[in-house]
Amino acid sequence: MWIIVGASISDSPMIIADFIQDLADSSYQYKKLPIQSFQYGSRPENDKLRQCLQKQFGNRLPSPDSDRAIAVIPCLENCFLRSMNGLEAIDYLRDSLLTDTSIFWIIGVGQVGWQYLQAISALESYSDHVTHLEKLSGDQLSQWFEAVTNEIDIGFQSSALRSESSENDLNWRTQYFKFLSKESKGVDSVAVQLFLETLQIREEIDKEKENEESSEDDQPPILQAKLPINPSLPSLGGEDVYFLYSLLLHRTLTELQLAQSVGLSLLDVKDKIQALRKLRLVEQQDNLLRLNPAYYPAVYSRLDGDNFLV
Amino acid sequence: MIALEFSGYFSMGFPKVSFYLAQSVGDSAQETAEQAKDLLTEITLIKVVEAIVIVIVAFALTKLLDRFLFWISERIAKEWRLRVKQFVPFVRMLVLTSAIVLLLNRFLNLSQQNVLAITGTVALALGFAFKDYVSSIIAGLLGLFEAPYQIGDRIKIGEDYGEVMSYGLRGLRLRTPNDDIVSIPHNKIWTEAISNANMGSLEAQVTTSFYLEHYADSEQVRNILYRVAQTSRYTQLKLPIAVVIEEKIWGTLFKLKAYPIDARNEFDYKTDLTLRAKKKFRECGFSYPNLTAMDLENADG
Repeated sequence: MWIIVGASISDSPMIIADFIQDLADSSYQYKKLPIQSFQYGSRPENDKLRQCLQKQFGNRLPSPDSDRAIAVIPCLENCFLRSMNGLEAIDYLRDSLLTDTSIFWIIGVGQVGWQYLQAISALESYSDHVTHLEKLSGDQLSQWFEAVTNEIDIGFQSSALRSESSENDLNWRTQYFKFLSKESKGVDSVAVQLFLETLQIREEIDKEKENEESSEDDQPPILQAKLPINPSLPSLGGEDVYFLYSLLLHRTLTELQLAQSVGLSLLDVKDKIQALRKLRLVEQQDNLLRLNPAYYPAVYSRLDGDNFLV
Repeated sequence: MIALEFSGYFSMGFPKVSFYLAQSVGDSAQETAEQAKDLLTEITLIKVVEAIVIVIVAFALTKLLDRFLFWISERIAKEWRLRVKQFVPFVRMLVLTSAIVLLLNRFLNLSQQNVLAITGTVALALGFAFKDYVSSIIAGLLGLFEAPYQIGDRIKIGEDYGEVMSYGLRGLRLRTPNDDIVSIPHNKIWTEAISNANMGSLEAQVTTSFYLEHYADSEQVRNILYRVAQTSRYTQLKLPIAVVIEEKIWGTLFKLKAYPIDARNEFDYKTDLTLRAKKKFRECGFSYPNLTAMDLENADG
């Protein structure tokens, strides 16, 4: 079994899914082994988690070419919910599926989920390799954002970046992405969020400068990137950290799933989530809640300091 | 023979002895007065004002530092909370000692002889008048270094259990589960056994008891209890979870031992574990021992 551990906010499940798709399509497919990836529209219901795994992997049909196969779970967080019945799928995976030596497993999981699963089910003892995804460097981020930055005219030079920068020989773009890498802790989704939040239309900046004499009316509006800085964590209530931990543990949750995960009533959760959304700490998309990636470094550091297993 | 001679001498020479005795007492009083004069410096209005200022500043500084350290400890990461709080008694002692030294320096000539004289006199006076008070202060000072309890610890002294909220010169204050504040003098450490649940760390073991009938499947109950602890939002998974099973006349006693992430959540944690375990027991159809008061008395006996 090969476990790939990324940051709990990163888009590593998508990266793994794409990688597996490329592998399946390519002519270099290892020994022509069939690849079966765990398919899910959204997170299965709590009592159907096990059935879902069993249905997809439990009754595997033998391949005509080989009796061996590769099975992939890009996001293991979708296979469990921290609740009384929500860990049955993990028990089933550990006790029935991972013991099948004819299947090579590739499993992607977030750092927080991995720590939790290690503590309760010792999954590491079943794995041959555990790979922790490396942090993205400034150069890698710069290369990754090239498609966008080449398309749109973005200015990276700013007085704030100039005052923060210690190296004079680097160009502004390189310095900007180096700084972005440092602030985002090298996590893809955090870098994207910070990048988007730093963009400003040049005209807006000009309006802010009251005494600017030179007129740039003829110049087309271009985007200017401000210095990327992590937002500081707002003051949190006693229970808020448990909610944030739960969101990191599962990546995305509905309100009901979050209530089950923290062991509270849906009504209690709704009030708290509303408050956290107001603080911009939590985002909601299609009924799914997740931590705002821009706050990930601050939340992670807070949870670590508060004695959570992260 | 000797006794007779002495008695004769005494009876005949009494006025003379009395004279010498009176003279000796007079000398001694004069000597004491001289010593006191040497010991005390001249008391002036400025010195009195200075002394009042020192007392006020020391009091205000102690209160300010107390508040500041408590304020900051509740706002930083929990792993630092107890460390900052444990620093409070040392800061208090430092301020108090500095104030006492400054005051003594203003009113007393602290020569080597005088220090010895003061120490002896003060020790004698305090020994009689404030025996318990001094005993508590000394225990408090020793406690700072021996640390049988520190601020933030959850301790039991005698019948009282709770979190140590403050560590004063004379005693400590405990916040009990009922939210009462109990003041306990430090000198209890000489005579009472002190049970400390966390000894300066954030976690403290919490034991939750469950009582079921003999017919309940013990292995299934044990697995349920493990899962209850593993899925509680309060559980510290870095530390072990254990289930202890004990057979009783009236049924089976299950004790779930686990650690919350923060010892402050001890009672919320216990409630969470109990609620969720009972819900699962109900789903599994486990029943509880149904005993009368008489049965219980017989069982205990």
